[in-house]
Amino acid sequence: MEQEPAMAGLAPEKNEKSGFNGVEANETEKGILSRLAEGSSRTAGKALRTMTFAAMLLGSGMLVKEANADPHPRHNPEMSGVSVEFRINPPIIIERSRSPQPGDAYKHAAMKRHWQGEEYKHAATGHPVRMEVYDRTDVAIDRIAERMSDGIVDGLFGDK
Amino acid sequence: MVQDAHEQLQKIVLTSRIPFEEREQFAVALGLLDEEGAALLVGLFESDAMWIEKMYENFRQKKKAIEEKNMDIWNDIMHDEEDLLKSVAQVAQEE
Repeated sequence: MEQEPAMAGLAPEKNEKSGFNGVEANETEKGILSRLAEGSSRTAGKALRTMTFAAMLLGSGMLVKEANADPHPRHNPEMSGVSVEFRINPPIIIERSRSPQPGDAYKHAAMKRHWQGEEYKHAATGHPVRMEVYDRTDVAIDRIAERMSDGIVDGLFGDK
Repeated sequence: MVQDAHEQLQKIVLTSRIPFEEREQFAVALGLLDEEGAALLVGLFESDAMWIEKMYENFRQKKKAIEEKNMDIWNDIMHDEEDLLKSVAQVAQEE
């Protein structure tokens, strides 16, 4: 997912400080950072950007997740696959996003047949939503990002 | 039963020391990672649980900044992230 400027990755260029929040890293932390770096700082940046993306969705009230919902697909197999509830106006609510498992494929297909394009009121918020079901998480995230592409940070933080 | 990275992440978060009422939202946030990112975080979180709280705190602060529409807090978070990623790059260079 390509990020907007305010969500963009902060590509490391040169070291000025070390440690988290500017605190000098101790040996344990350096060791952890080393392991983090093994996956590349790009991947670390990706994790942080994901936090940004999710915080924007949740903090703005666009992403709704019921507190007691069961996130485990094996406990809630009918929710396997990738399903997204888009608030109709304004758009965007994501209910769930995960990669379907091979054994879940038939359940995912059944859900897609049953729910694709359905419009109803969200159980938690009462907002009118439309369900969109995707076969791949990355596609779902791209689609969400498209819906957010009109400068959501600017909109959240005031006029520019 | 072999768990995929996302299932492992869910388990780690839902059994973590993060405040109970916040675990679900943090789990949803991590659910937006792709498999590569999820696998990385599983390794990181398993290496030292303090990283769960650090990543959660990053998420919590961002969410708070957006809820309060506070650009100053947002900028502070971005600077902290820059420091973190620079330190990651520095450690990688030293290895």
